[in-house]
Amino acid sequence: MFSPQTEAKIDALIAKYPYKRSAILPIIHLAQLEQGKVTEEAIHYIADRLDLEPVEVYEVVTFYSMYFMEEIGKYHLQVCRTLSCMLCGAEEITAHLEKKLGIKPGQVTPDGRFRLSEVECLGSCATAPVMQVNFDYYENLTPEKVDEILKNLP
Amino acid sequence: MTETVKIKVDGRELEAPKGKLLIEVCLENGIDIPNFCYYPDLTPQAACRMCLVRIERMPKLATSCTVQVQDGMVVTTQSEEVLEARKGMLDLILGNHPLDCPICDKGGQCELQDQVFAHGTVYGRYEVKKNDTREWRLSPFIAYDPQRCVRCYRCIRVCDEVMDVHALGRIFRGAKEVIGPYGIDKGYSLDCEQCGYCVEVCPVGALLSVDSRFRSRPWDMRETITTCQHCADGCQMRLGTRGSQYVRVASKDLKGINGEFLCIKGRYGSSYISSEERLDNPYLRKDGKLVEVGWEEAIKYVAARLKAISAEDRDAVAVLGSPRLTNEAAFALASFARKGLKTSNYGQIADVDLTRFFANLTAPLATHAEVKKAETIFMLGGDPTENNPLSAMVIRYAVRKNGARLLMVNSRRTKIARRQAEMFLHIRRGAEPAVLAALIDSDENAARYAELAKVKPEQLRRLGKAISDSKRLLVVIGPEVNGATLEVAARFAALLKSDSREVKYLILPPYNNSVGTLDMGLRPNGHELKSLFGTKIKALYLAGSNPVEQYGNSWKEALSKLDLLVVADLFMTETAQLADVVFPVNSFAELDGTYTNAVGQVQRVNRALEGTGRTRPDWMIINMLAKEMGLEFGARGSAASIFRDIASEIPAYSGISYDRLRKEWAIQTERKISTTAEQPDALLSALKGEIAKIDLSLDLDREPVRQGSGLFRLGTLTSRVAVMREAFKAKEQVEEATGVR
Ligand code: SF4
Ligand code: SF4
Ligand code: SF4
Ligand code: FES
Ligand code: FES
Repeated sequence: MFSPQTEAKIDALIAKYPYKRSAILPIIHLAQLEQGKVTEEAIHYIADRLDLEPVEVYEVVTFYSMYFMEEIGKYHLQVCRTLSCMLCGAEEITAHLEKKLGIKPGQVTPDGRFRLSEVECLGSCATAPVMQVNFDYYENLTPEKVDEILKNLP
Repeated sequence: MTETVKIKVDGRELEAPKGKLLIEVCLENGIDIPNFCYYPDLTPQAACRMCLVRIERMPKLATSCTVQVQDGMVVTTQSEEVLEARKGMLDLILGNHPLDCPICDKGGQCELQDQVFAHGTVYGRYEVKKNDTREWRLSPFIAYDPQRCVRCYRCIRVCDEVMDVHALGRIFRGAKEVIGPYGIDKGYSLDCEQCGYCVEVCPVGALLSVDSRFRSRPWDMRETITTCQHCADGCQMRLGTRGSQYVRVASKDLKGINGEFLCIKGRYGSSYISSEERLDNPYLRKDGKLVEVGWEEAIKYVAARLKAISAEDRDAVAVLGSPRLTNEAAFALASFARKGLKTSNYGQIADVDLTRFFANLTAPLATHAEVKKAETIFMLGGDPTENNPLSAMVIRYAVRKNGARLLMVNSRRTKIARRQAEMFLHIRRGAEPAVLAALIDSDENAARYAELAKVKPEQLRRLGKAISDSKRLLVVIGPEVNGATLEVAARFAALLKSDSREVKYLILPPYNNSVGTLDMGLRPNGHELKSLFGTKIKALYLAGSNPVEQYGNSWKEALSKLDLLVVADLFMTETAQLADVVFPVNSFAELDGTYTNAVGQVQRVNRALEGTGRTRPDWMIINMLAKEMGLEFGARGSAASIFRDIASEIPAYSGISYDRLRKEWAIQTERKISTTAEQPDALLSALKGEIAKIDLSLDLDREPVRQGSGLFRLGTLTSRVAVMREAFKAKEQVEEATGVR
């Protein structure tokens, strides 16, 4: 189902826990990483590997906000909206991105390049407002800085 | 024995087995504890927190549905603190609840209504707009309204644990969470057994049966407790009717053999009683066409014809019943044939000859309650999941709750074989006698039997060892075990039972009254008698059977050779269309009577509807005919008086009465148990012929049995159930078109 590297990681994860099902979270992440979203085939495959029912994997996928069954977009812009960031201007950042990209949180630009999300505290309150792009943090944001960041993304 | 502990609840001293759930101890002692997520036999969930109580020396209020009683526990269930906490929980639940009680099917039978009523004002502290969500149609049978859902997860647990279907999950999270199947938001529907158990356990109006939605309020219908007429398990159910119409079937709070369990057929398979297609007048063939006539004309015609044919040769008149008739109807039919018509050609159309089983029985039949407690279960054939769903449920229960060892021999990969069996011998079709022989014979022949059955000798040895290791053994025999093999299977227990091993049987016949009609004297000789149609047999009176639909052309041809065919049925069936006269009969909802289930328990069929007054119970039609013909056979004027005759004439039924049945619900008939010592050699030689019939060219049937292959099959009754017909006809068409099953 997946590349040999991913399969090897899945095997290792399953072997790591006394109960197979415990490996469910990291495996879904791996699947999402490889396929750009959590596909139905992946859900069935994971269920099979972990001796679960598809609906049990589905429960987990729909529960957590970091799993996506639709295209994530090349760059996932995750703006923190929790207290510190909000006080330091997160709303302005989000509004700026909405205007610039023409999408609302939860949407993807038509070219599939950006997804905009509002997320809860990223644990970097001291450098608020903060945005996470895929796995990288960008801190002390201003609208100008955001323009700069987007421009420099490959 | 578990230790008994003493606890104190609201000042009352109680005794209970150590480790029992506190809520259960309270409820059993009449101390009411509100609850939503607690449900007997399901794993504790502690989701709703309605069952909070104060337990001394515990830091916080505790959920009594998860606490196990310990010696010396002191509990308060009624105090300001506890009531306030419960009210707080109700407030949370009502936060998003639509309070649309006036249009809710559950209104009046809703546990949430009851709790809010009992707790008085809740605060209504949530002022934000309620979460507005739409209703989901989860399947043609089941609808879900997320706003009413209290997130108790009884539905999910009952589907996972009791049904072993695992069709439901919690999808999304927080306030958006809904109960649903895989891909609910992608438009997928519930791929499950459609048993509706989830609907039954839902404390509120969140899960609902589509077939009865918006049809009636609970207080506006009459509920009659009666026995399911579909399979031989004989579940008890509440038949809800309004005026002259069917409304629904439910099983809430039932204490019968099935508790609140029902399968799809039990829960959704009875609306045919109000089908437009029901026959309402007798039909008589005139100028080649069946036309409606009055009872008098039809009875006179049949009486005259039967009389004439019988006068030439009494045996030229045959009478055949069906395993669907009540005991009373079957008894009347058999008496009419034997004592009235004095014909020797009477019986019923059935595939399995259980007479051989009962005549050779060497151990008693286990009740469903006893199956639940089984220690080792040896199943020779059978697919109860699809055909005897209550039996399947109790077998699963034995495995899940008591760790019963399930040893399965089957030619098909049934669901129980795939999921519950500790040992599964997948055999060649028809090789059951070889396995039985291997268990009886000495080890030196193991290789030969293994080859016949297409298993490894080692597997047969392990099976034999597991059986001989058992202390309490339940032997389950599927309907594919027939003829001499069935007889040997019945004698088999004699070799196994001992002072240290108890053996009981469970059989899995297909129809609701397979056992009872046999007891009443209707032998399963229909297929044999068929070969005499047109030669020895000129006239046939056929009650409640539709062999043309069931067996096809061979029956159609045979029936066409008769001079006179009389059919008594609910519908103008494929068979009735060939008849000279058709009598319209009462459905089980319009009857008093009894059925005897597969485990030999007699249970009542209670009249729920008056009927139109133009149909008749089978036994009454017989009486009318006999009277017109001037025959005396001991006719009785009511089901109750027929049953008195049954109790006095048939030994297994002696001592049973409607009165006792009203109080005891299910009374097990006592079967004659043969005590003669059996010799292995005798059994082996009885199996020889059957073993010779095994077709060695057959390969194993590797296809897993598909969900619904029995449950969703439409028969004479279920094809007149609108929801079932719509759901499964469409499915069949898709399957036919695509070739995918
Ligand atoms: S109808 Fe039965 S099988 Fe289907 S989801 Fe409900 S409990 Fe499960
Ligand atoms: S649907 Fe009913 S049974 Fe299921 S969680 Fe909601 S309230 Fe409970
Ligand atoms: S298990 Fe049998 S008796 Fe019970 S509801 Fe289903 S068909 Fe009826
Ligand atoms: S509030 Fe934004 S990082 Fe903590
Ligand atoms: S019944 Fe105890 S928490 Fe729900």
